[in-house]
Amino acid sequence: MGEEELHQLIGGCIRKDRGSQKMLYKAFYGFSMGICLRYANNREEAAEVMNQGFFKVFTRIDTYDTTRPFKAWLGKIMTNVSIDYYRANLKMAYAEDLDKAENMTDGELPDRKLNYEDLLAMIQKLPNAYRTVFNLYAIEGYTHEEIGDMLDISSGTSKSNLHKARQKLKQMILEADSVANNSNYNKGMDYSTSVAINKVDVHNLFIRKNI
Amino acid sequence: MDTEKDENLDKLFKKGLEDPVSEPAFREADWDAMEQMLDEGKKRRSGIIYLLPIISGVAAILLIFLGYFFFKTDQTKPEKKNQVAATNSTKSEAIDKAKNNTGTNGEPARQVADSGKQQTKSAQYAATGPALKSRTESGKTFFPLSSGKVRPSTGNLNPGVNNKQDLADNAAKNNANGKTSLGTADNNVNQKNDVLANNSKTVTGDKTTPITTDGKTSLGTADGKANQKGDVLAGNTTKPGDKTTPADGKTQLGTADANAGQKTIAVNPTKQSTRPAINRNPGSRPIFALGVIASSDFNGVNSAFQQTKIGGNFGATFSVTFAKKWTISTGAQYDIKPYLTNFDNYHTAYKFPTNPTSVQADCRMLDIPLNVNYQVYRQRANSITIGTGLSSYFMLREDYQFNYGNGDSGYGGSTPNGPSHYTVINRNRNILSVLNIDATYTHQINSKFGVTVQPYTKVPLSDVGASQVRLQSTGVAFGINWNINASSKPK
Repeated sequence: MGEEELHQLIGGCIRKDRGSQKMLYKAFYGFSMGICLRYANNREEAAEVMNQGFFKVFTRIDTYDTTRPFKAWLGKIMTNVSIDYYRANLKMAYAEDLDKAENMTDGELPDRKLNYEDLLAMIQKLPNAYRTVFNLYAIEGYTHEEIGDMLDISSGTSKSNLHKARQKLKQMILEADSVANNSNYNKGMDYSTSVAINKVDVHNLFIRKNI
Repeated sequence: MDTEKDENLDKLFKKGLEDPVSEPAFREADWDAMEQMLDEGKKRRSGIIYLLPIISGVAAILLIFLGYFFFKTDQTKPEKKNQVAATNSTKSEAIDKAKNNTGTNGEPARQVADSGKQQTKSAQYAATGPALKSRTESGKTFFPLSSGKVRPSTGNLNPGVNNKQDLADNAAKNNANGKTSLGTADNNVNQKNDVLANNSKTVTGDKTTPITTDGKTSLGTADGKANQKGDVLAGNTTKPGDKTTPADGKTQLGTADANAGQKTIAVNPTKQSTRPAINRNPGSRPIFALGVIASSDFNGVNSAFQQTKIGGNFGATFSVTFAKKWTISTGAQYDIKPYLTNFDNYHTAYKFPTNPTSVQADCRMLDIPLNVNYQVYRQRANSITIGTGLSSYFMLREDYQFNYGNGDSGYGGSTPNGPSHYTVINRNRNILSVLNIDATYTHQINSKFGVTVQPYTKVPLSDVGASQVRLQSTGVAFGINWNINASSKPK
């Protein structure tokens, strides 16, 4: 979308023109949904959060500074609404399965290319508190201090949550890899890596179906 | 080493998840939900505007009642005035009474006679000159008039004297009998002043007679006009400048003072006559009361009080006791009503992927009741009333939380069930859809204030809110009542 077209759309949104709102929504749907999906448990929740984000965008679009990139402003709103959505759960500490994760051999990451769905399924399996910190640190690029401020937790908790998130993700990657290898070994070479996806639990399948 | 591996992991996810190629495709259903949210947003804003007429309606009802209350109290006042005026207007009777009565034959007659005496005194004082003395002696009735009249005449005593004569002359001419007694003359003047304060037309008619027919001296005429003008001013019907045009400078001075005098006169008789009249008719007016109320109640659906939740309410009430034991009450109350119900009682067009087992709701609403109460018991400061009526619910916010029975709350859990919650804002109104039944115990602390304890129940006559449930509430309210017109009672 060209800069001029974007400004026209924004102008339409300021005038509360429904057509412009829909066009803007459609144009940035994938980008916004991509962010919300990373923070959400599933697609439905992500859609709900994203709509709350767009609602903020449409109601506060007159505060948008047109000299700054729109995508950055939109992305920040989507991140914020996602954090808000899970804020109540973010302070909770999770101890489940950690022993297992800690004792895990720190092997090399598999060189097999994991696709978007695999990665998303993994990140969505993380507890909210880990997932949010991982998103903010590893993907958005915030520091632990910034994350601490955003989530109202200490930077130590942020570091700890990041560490646990990484451990869990590594574990999931290795599991997925081993499942894939076993499947290939047992079933023969006709099977593609999609077998690995099938092994991910029913919950994830349900989500992927909707994407 | 570890750091490097961590960074690799981070990069793996960052690259994989931020790949624009993998961005999810647009789904029309999501936009539909968005559109609905935008429409609701509009409604939410306009909802407040929609609520305004309702709130102002309640305020208008309150104002009408209050207006009625003040109107009623005003009505009683003219009644009292009329009593005096009527006594005065039946001139011959009043005069006869004033003449024949020595002050023992009833209040109005005595009053006239008394005022006659006072005026006689003032006339005497005015005629003899020591007007200032009369002012210091008594501030009642005609003294301001006499003093006012004397003030401009300090340079020239004649107008002051003439004024008095003229008053007497006018009075004598108005009187068909042409009685010469001072009491009669003053009575007429008194009548004139009383009536003039209320009705300028009558006054003008009264006044013109002596002015036109008498052909008095210029001073007398001027004085008559001065009086007339003062009267008209009291009635606020015409500009004083018009009337004073023919009068000379002296008369204008006299006129100004006459105004002051007339006004004072117009007020005093009313004050004098108010007290006895109220004493005669106590308690015939409606009693108005304002109150604040706070309550806590149990809320359940379909009489299923095993699933009750405790809510709270607070608000203001307004009541009118229109008959001996009957009271109408209304008000506005903010209700916080949480409740839990089985999903069977929850009605929605939305089809859940998996039906929730139960629904937990938290409703915020405005409750406008209209009740009739009957007093069944009263002893000293304690009374018990029973009441019934209808309430209208204006739903301000409804939050529904869906429970799925397997320990999960909607999509937030580990297995996908369905939406976890649903919020509706300012959408539903249920006019006169709830039956109120209550009993109120009131303990009157003093004539103005009382405390109330009110057990009540609210029975739904129709389904309420977005979920169309039969929401029932039972609780106890505590409040304070203030009787607005208790202060105007005679002491």
